[in-house]
This record gives sequence, structure tokens and C-alpha cells, in this order.
Amino acid sequence: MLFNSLSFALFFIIVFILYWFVFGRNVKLQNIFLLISSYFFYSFWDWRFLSLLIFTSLVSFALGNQIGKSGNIKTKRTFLYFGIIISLGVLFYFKYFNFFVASFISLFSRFGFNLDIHTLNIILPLGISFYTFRIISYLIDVHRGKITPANDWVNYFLFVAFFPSLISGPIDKAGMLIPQLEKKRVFNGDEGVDGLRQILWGLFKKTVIADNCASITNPVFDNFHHLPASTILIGIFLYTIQIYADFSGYSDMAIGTARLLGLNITRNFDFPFFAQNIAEFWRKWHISLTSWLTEYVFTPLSISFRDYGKAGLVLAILINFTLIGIWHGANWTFVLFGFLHGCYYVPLIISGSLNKRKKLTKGEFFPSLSEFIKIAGTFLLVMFTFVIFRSDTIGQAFALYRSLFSRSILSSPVFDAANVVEHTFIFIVFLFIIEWIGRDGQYALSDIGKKWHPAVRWSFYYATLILVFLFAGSDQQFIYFQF
Amino acid sequence: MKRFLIKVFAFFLPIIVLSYGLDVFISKNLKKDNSDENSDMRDIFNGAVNSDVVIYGSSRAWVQANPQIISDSLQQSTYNLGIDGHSFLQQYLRHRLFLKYNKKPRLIIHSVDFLTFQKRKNLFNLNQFLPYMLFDTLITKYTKNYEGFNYFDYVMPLARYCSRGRYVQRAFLLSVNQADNPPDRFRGYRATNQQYENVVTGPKNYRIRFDPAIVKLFDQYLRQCRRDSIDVIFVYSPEYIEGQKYVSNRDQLFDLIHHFSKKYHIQFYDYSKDSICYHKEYFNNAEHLNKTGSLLYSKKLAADIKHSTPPVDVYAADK
Repeated sequence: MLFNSLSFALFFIIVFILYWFVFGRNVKLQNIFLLISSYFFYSFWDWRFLSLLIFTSLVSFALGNQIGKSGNIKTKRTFLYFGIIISLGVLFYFKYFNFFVASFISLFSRFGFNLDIHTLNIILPLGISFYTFRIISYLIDVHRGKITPANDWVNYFLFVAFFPSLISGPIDKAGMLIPQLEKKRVFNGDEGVDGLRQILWGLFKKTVIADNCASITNPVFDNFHHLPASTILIGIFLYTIQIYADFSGYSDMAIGTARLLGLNITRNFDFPFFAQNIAEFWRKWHISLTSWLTEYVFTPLSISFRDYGKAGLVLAILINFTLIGIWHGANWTFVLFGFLHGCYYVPLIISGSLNKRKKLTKGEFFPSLSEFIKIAGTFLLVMFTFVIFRSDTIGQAFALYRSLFSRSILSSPVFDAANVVEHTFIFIVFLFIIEWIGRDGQYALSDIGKKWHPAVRWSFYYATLILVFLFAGSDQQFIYFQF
Repeated sequence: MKRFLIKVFAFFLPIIVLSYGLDVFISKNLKKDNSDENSDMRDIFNGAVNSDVVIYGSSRAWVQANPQIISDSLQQSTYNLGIDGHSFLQQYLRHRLFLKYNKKPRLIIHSVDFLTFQKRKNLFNLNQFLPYMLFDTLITKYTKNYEGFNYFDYVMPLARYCSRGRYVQRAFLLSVNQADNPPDRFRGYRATNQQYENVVTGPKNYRIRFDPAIVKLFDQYLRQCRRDSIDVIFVYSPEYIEGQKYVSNRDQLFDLIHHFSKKYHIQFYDYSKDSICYHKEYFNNAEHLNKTGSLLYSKKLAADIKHSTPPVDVYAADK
């Protein structure tokens, strides 16, 4: 049940009607209904792992309460560690077990030892990385006293499994979502309309941009050995756009859906391709993950390493970004991807400009030349790391780089479906124009058109819907579902 | 909430109202399309097949059996309903649609081959169904289990055209006669004169995976034909001799054909060892005859049906 499918639309219409019109008067019933709907939504993907979701919710709920109740710091810490070990243990088993076993076997074989360990046939439960991080943040925040333990298990279980953000985030913090679940919700028409608008924009990004890009980039990455460098370069560019449109499109649809239910969830993207340096990029890209790691990993590490000055900061950044990389999946490519991004920070740390924030010129339609150069430079840096992100192995990534930096970079690019490439580039220009104009809003369309005559505004929405209808690419899974 | 619902309703109302009209417009124009399998489907739905003799099968029927030659020989109107890339499941759908919109045939020449009893995952050439499938129970029944359409595509106007913009564009071009749309089939048949492509270099040990449900359906179809007094003959059209050795369980296929042949007293015209099979110059590839080969084969087939078995009109006269 993809967000961009009619089955989800039907599911959501039913949920919306029952949620507001049948259970609307009773918060408790609303939450129970949302929880059942969330579990139904999850089961629709894979019912086998529903029990795992319930189990981890149950254990963390119990431990959270124990942490909250206990007056002894040591006991609190024990419960916290226990909770983190269980959550990470489950994540490790399902996501990383085979990776580590295979890596150990490979490492030992280099020294002439042939280990007789077998990898297991493990299926990755959908959304596990997202809900595990949600659970851990809850336990840490309770331990730190930032939030009180959830007193209602329904609210807590719903916080873990809330369907708009269950499969691919955003990674909400308990302090943000649980208080909303405890309060009676009143439907706000303007919020609802804005939610629909955000869904529309997310749908456009996913179906028109990301899915069309995917139909071009998949053959490029699969057959890059036989393609000229110019084609590969365009493929890498389009993959960078694809991953942004895919994930931010999903996030927009998730946030819009939650808003229709009267709930606000964490913003995940803030126009990252307009960032002027890599630090700014990561403040704007997958915000819920980077802020999670900043709060629970980077900040404690940088405090621990503060005696080492800038070297300590570099070390903290490198660890933090390597973890960001490995969060994405059990592959050395992700480790390298994260590590490279950490390395990108080094010049900023050395020059002392890590925390400098310069807003883009307001009120001007075009960026200044220096802004443009910085934006383009940051984009290029990010784009080249996505080669590693997209490759199956590091060897493949380097083979791709070798193919890219060859003389054929000056030849004409070759594509099977040239007309799809043309369409897609036109849509990407449209995307960038709208995102640039709407860059000060929560999402591209949030402020655009508010001053327009309703007829013009509606025409714009109809035109976007027509684009979705006519030019949506063939059904593709969301990239972040695999994480 | 009331204001919100009114707003949403007002926004979507034109879409809902227009969607059915737009669906009709797109479908109506797509029906004019002559590419792929579209002209066959149009003829079926318009009742324009109306032939005494029909040829069923996969692409091995479609590009090999010339209906004009068979028609001239048997003095019976003939139409080739071979469907590219599909097994008996889709051949049966065509059979059912054909019977629904056209007069009953006297004879079915059923071309059987390695595809007949196999199941395929994706709905190849699914565009042939687009203009006809909305609320069509037969098409729904026989295409829903493939990868291709979802539930809404069958019951919701326009849903099936979403993500398939090129067909919508084509419909608009066809509406103003701007599409490149020359007829490329004659009564369902199209032959090409290509050089032999050495596709035999594919898997050396191809194994037919017989689908029990399709075998059962085939049996049911033969029973229905007998009940409806439609004569059926089986044909195994020529295959290039070098290609024949790559199907490891070919014997099983022939056993099954002989089994049905015996069970329903159906004559089996087996051309798999015909002299044509030894001449590469008659083939496009191991499985498909080219135009020259198909003319030769069609003449043989027509003559054999005419002389080796009672002529079709005799059957008709008996009835």
C-alpha cells in the first residue's frame, strides 16, 4: 500500500471518515482506532513482523516506565541500557548480522583462515530502522528527564507505529508526538487543506520526478560498463534528484497525511539542494535522522572529545557520519558514503565556519553569483557521493568513477527512451523553480499561491494533478523502504 | 470540517464528472490504434472477426498462419487470432471475447507450442486491454492475476491510464489523425521478412513449466468446443530444427497434446519435422517463420486440412 496508490487513498479516506466522524468525540477511541489502522497498514506490507513491532513496543514501554519510576540512577541506567541493547540487538540481528558475519569471514580469509560460519536467510522487517530509533529516543529522553514516561500504552504504541511515518519516517521524538496524542484534536480546515496541498506536492515529486528518474537511472547503473561517460554523468545527476524527490516526496505525503488527522510530525527536508555548504546540507536533508544523531551521538561525543580541540570535533563528526551511513544499510558502500560526508566537514571545522549560517538572499528571485557557486559546488559534492550510495559494492562504485572520468564524457549521451529524458528534465526545471520560489515555506507549495486568485491557484493544482496523471513513471518502490 | 469537506468536494467534483467522459474519449480513440494487438481486439469487440475458421495460438500462430491462403483453400472466411507472447490463458480470453461479440466459428485451428501451457507473470502488451477493460468482467477475470493492472484499473474511470501517459498522448494524436497508424495486420496476421536472428544461443536447457490450472482450462475449453459443436484441430507449426533440441521436456508437451487429441478426437497436424524445419532461410528465428516460410507453411496447412480431413463446409453441412 504505497502512499501514491489508489489502495492507500481508499484506506485513508475510510480512516479519515471513521477517525473524525465516528470516533471524533473520544480521544481514547480515536487513538485505539489509529493504532489498529496503523497495524493494519503495516500488516498489509508484511503481517509476519507485526508481532516484532508489538514486542519491541511492549518491552520499551515497560522499560520506559521502569526508568521513570525508579529513583536510583544506577537502576535507571541499567533499564536504559537494557532497552537500548534489546532495540539495537533486534535491529542488528535483522539488518546487520549477515553483513558482519560476511565481513568477518572475508577479513579472516585474507589472513588465510577459513571460518565455517554461515549467514542466515534473514528478511529485513519494513521500517525497523525508523521505529527502533523512535524507541531509543523515547528511552533516552525518559532517562534524561526530558519527558515523562507515557502513562497510556495505546498512546505509546501509536507513537511507535503511527502509520504515516511508520515505514520511512520521519523519525519523530516522543516529546513531539505523544503530547499531541494525549490531547483532544480539533479539525482545522486550513491545516487540512494545507495537508492536502503537501500531499499533492509530495505525489508530484514521487511519481513525476522520482519514478521517471528511476526509469532512466536504473539502466544506467546496471549497464554503465557499456555507456559513454556523458550518459553516466547524467545518470548520476538524475539519481541525485531521484533520491531527493523520492524521499522528500514520501515525507511530504506522510506529513500531509498526519496533518489531515490533526497531528504534526517532524519536518524532514528543508530544500537541501539550496544549501551553500555540506553542514547546511545535512541540516536540511533527512532532518529527523541528523537531528536524532546530533542529539544522541554527536553532542555526547563532542563533549567527551572536547579536550582534543578541533581534532576531537573531527573525530566526533566522522563517527557521527559513519553511523549515518551505516544506518542506511548493511553495506560498506554506506559506511564509505557516511565517512566521506564526515570528511567533507573537515575544511569547515578547520576554517571555523561549521556553525556559520547564512540565509539565502531574501526577496531576490536569483541567487547572487557567490551563492550560486556555493550551491552548485555543494550539489556536486553530494552528487558524487551518491555514486557510492547507489552502487552494490565499493568496487562497483570505483568502476563507475573510472567509467565517468574518461574521454567519452564529451560524447553525446545515449538513452533508450530519449523522450522520457527530455520530459524528466523539463519537470526537474519546474521542480527547482517551484522549490526555489517556495524555499521559505515549510514545503514548496506552502506559501506559493496564497495571494493568488483561487481560480489561478486551483488551476495550478489541477495542472499538477494532470502532470501526475499523464507523466507519472511506472510504479517504483520508495528508495527508503529498504532502510 | 464542513467547509473543508465542501472545498474538497468542490475541487474533486469536476475531476469525478470529467473522468468518465475523458475515459470514454481516450478509449474511443485508442480503439482506432492499429499497433500491437489493437486491431485484433477492435475486430473482436466490433464483431468484425465473424469467420468460419479462426486460428488460435501465440505469436507462432500470429506470424505464421496466413488466413488469406487458408480462406482461399477452404473457401471459408478465416481470421488469425494469435496473440503475441501469451499462453493459453490469454488465448482463452480471446476465445471467450470472440464468442461473445461474433458469430460462432465452425473450425478452430489451434496452434500449440511450448508457451501454451505455461504461466507468465507480467501482462505482456497490456495496452491491448486498455480501451475495453473498464467494467469488463471477462477481461478482469483473465488478466487480474498478472503483474500489470490493479483492482482500481478495472472499476475506476481513468485509473488505468494513470502512469501510462503515452497512451493518453496517443489517443489525443489519434483523435486528430496525427498518429503514425498504418494497419500492419491482415485479418490478424502479420509476417515479416527478416534475416535469421540466432536466438538459439539462449538457454541451452529450456524447460517447459506446465501450469496445472492452464492445462485444466485447456481441457475445459475443448469440452466447451465439443458441446458447442465447434471443431478444433491442433497444429504444431514448423520450428527450426536446431532450436528444437534446446527444450529438454519437449516430449512431455507432445504427450499432452496427444492426450487431448485422443481424449477429444482432435486431429493433430504436426509440422515439427516438416522439410521447412531444415531450412534456415525460412525463419526469422528458431521459433518464427519469416514471410517466405509462412507462405509455404500456410499453403501446406491449408492443403492438408482440405485433403487430409473432411472439408470444413462438409462439417457445416452435416450440422
